[in-house]
Amino acid sequence: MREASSQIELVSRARGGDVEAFEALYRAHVGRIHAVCLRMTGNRATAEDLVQEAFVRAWRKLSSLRTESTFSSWLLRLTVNLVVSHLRSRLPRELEDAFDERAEPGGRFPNPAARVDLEEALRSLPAGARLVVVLHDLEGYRHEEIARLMGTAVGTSKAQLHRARRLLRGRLVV
Amino acid sequence: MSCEIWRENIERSLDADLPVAEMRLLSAHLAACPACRREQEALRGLIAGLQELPAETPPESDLWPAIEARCSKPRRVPLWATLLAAAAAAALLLVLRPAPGPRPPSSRSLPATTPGVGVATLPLDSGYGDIAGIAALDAARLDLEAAFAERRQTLSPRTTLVVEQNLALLAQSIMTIQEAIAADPGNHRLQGMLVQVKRREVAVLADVTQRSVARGREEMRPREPAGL
Repeated sequence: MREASSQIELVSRARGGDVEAFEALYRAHVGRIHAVCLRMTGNRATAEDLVQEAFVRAWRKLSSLRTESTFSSWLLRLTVNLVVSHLRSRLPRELEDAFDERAEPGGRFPNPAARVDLEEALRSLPAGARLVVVLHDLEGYRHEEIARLMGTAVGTSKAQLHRARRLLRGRLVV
Repeated sequence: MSCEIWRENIERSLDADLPVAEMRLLSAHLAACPACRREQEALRGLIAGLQELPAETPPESDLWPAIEARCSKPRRVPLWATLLAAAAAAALLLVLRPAPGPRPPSSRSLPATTPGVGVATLPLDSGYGDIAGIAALDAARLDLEAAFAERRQTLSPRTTLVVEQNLALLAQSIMTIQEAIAADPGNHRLQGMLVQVKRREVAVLADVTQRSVARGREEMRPREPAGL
């Protein structure tokens, strides 16, 4: 409760232009935001660029935040939108094509016997499949929301999720 | 009857996306089919594993100073700051200059890592502010990033670290220049700088890819038997 009221105060001060308050918000949320960016992009350098961009945009748009208590979910949504937009501009075909076979010659990974951890398996997924499984299974987005973000059909989102899980299982099973 | 037809419904049931009537049929099938129950458990385990991944993974370096620098009131980025960033990026590339010894093949002879735009088709002499040139550089960077990711295991940790540090600084320079361009869209000098730094970014990735290819060839070469 105290933590929540402290965050509300920090958000309120940051909206007034207090950079120190915004730094405290950054310190409190950077781990979460970085985790999302890293898992969605699969690339550390890109993830760090996007984390920076997300916080800069949050700073500039703080005045549009209606309720201080919703800062965490607002920041997360802003970040997800930013990352999806970035990926769509960089990898439009991969994100929209549900059946990109580059990562699965013969329908399986090159070395199905390799035991790798789940984070590494996630990173190895094709961009579209990774994006959908992270948003759906880790962040709790619904297919309708994912499809809207990606500018694709709901069926494409479902197909990407099915494919991502199949690839992950193939990657993890010895 | 093959269980394949039930697999999709198992997944839909776990996503709460299966109508009640089909859910009943699936439950009846699962009660009688150990293979599908194992499938259900495996899928449930995977989803649970994903949901149990740590919610937070802090970045390796502190990103706050770069954010703070951009969190003041909107202002024009002074040209000298942009020049300094580009110069710093250029200077850092010296770290990656090849050591004396046999040189790897030139970047023009390096095959593209994936179909499409590769190093061989880079617009090395594109004009300042050439949008098509920037798009081609971005596409080439994407290919080379994928090649670097594939081959990073073959490189020494030190080389990987140096490359990543260089790329991070170049990315920082690009963002700084892009900010300056946003404040002054008609500035051709800034657009030229953007092309230059993006070219350097591609050059770093091409260089490290060449090194890993050369190293791979070296390791593949048959060795002379001892004593000859």
